[in-house]
Amino acid sequence: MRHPLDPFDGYGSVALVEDDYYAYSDDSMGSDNSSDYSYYSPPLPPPRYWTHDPKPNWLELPRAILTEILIKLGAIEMIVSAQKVCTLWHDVCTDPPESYHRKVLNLGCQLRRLRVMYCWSISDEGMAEAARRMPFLETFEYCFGNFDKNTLMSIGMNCPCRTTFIYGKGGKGQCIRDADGGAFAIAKYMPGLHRLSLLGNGLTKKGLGAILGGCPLLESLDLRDCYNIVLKSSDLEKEMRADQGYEVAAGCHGQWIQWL
Amino acid sequence: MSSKKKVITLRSSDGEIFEVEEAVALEWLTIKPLVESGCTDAIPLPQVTGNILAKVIEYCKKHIGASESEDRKILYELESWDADFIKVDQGTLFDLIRAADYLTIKTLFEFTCQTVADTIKHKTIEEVRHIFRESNDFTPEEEKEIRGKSWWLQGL
Repeated sequence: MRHPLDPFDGYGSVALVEDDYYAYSDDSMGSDNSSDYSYYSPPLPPPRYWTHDPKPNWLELPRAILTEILIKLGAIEMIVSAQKVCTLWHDVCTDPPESYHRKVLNLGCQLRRLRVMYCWSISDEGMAEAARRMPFLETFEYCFGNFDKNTLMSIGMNCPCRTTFIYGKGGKGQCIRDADGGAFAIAKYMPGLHRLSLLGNGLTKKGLGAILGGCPLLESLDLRDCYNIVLKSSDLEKEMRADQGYEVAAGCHGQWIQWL
Repeated sequence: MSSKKKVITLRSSDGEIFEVEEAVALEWLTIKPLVESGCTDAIPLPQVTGNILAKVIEYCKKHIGASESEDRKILYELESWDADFIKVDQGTLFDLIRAADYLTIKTLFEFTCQTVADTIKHKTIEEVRHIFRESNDFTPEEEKEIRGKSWWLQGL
């Protein structure tokens, strides 16, 4: 008969049947009833009553407990080191991506820098939710994913400390129809920016003008691969030079504005 | 109703008898239904040895009520008490985790798991393997694949 408080039976939960409970007798306590456990599936540790072992075998920990421990390491440590320890830890650490996002959310409150790359599965709502939980975010980098101006808006409204924003290629912001939408959102909701990179963005002169007007604290603006804007030898450059102390640097892939 | 606090009797795997206040036992979700049903017999806990059960009770007694306190002084004292409490060998820590999980004591479970996580943090893979006596059971191909994968491609 199985003891109602058997650790392998509904681990951590209890479904006690009183008759069973009282029928339980002392004679099996402390004795070896391995035969009772013979029907358990192989991955479980060999059944034995817990005895103190100064050097325990951590592999005997149930997977649920190991997961709890590894989650407490934080997403970065899980990915960078814990998953390389052994196959079991690797399995635990490589949950579906969505769970990483949840972990990032949980550690978000103190986060100061966040880089999100190739995360196609993060939705606009997910990113907005994350932004709400990261009031101290200073640097945010976003490349190759799909979020739009609404997300930029929620980031802008929820992260007042943010001084650097890097908005990389591949976002919806790149599509021609809405090329300046992202720029307008940045101009409107991120007035405190010191550094801004818009890589491969489809914004036009109009969007650029909005950013220059909306972000008076900008010290550098990186516009590499923004082919809708030609800074050198254009009226725009002249206007900007006349207005404030800008320096425009053109590299192989585009241009860079540095405030003097 | 008697004003005397109700006491619950527990029996460890090695037959030791412990008495705890009902309020403490009610925090242990695994035995909570039994406590609530008014069980007066000693509740057997065949997976927990006497010395571990003593530690678990010690922790829960200290924490009951105190964790919710907003008095900074009390919380600070509790924190340093915790730090002393958890200065135990690996085996005891291991047993405490299992006991907390088995008895479903959330505070102790969180605390002990966090302690293990803190020992792992900022250590190299080899150091972690040494501490936990885990062996590298990856095949060379698997290891190459894992090391080769850029971590930022994995969804972060």
